Amino acid sequence: MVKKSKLASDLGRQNEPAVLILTSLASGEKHGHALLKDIESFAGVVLGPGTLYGAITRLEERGFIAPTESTDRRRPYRITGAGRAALGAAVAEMSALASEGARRLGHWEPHVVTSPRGIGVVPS
Amino acid sequence: MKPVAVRERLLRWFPETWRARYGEEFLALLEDAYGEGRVPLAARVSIARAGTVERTRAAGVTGTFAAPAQRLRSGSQVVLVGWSLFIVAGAVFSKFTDRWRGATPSSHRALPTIAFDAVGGAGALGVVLVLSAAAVVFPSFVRFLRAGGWSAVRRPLLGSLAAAGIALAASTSTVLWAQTLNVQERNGTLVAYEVVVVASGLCVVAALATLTWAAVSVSRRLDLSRVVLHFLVVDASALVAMMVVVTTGTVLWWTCEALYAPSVIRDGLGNGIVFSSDVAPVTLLAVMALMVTGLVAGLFGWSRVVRCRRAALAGE
Repeated sequence: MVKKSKLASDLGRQNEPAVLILTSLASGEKHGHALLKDIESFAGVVLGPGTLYGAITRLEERGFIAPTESTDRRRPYRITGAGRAALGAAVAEMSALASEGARRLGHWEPHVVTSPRGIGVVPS
Repeated sequence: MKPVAVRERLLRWFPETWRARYGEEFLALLEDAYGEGRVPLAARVSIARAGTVERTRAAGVTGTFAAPAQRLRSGSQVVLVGWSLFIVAGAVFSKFTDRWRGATPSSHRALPTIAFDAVGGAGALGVVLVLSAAAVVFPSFVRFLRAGGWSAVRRPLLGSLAAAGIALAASTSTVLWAQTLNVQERNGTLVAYEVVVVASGLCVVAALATLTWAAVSVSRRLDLSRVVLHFLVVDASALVAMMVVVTTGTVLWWTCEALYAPSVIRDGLGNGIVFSSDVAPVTLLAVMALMVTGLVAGLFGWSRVVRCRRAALAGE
């Protein structure tokens, strides 16, 4: 059975905004619009502006992300150490789940495809 | 309306503290995403939803963001809002049950009498609990006004007073008119009277809503001592218990009457407006919907109060 860690529980399911934002920030700091574009490109998920900033608010309160210095109104965010640990826990959990799913499917071999809507997995 | 004005209006969905922290960057995001174009409906819904969530969190109604004392206070306010629905439901129920005793066979009157009296007693006790909470909070309100807080609460207070005045005038006029009419005119033959009764009833509901809004607006700004917070915990718990008694009593009375005196249900106020029923008339269904909604709100608020009472009373 795949156990859910406290850190992963804090973030929610894999397709939830918090996980998507931390994944995006793991490759470098970004402001709101850059986050939306990046998330759309790697996950094919179009977040609404309210959803994005609701998640940013919660992540900042928990200390998973932090704002960086900015000269204009577009304030970039960076992932913190606690954010990296939380994302790591969530990724480990997703990997365990994926392995378990693949094991139970037996001969099923996934083919990872990329499309304008993001990364997907299709059966062979 | 210009795009900038639209975006600034959308920002108002969020509470003031949130706007102070994230407002500028949020407006920048909307500019980047939609330029000079129209903000799509889906984005507006997303903003409205997120803003509402932030408002409930900032007020301490949901989440753990607000301080325990604030969460306790908000929980009490949610209980009060739930009780206000019971006031409306109780007024309609009282009118519906105008002449039920005479139409119920004496051999089957004992149980509905107990249920009906329990509803009345719990309703009266609930009103006493709300008034006592207001009395306990009143000194803090006076201190708040002396400290210059009038401008912050002027709008809801004056609004509720105006609504209460209109409701009182409408009700008094209706009662005075009713005294000049005969029984048949008062019970359906005079359409104008029916319209006036419904209109004055709506005025009372509106007054109750604005009074509740004013009470919530004022109480969330007050500095309450631990003794007062402790009283609110007990008061909210007792008020929720009254809600349970009222709901149970109403269901019991309704069941008894539907079984043993269907004419009471059939001839009750409002039966036949949408559909006719000897068992489930629209009026009692509406009463029950209000009570269940109020009870759910009350239980939610009470659970918030109970969960954060220790931390709030310890002054954390």
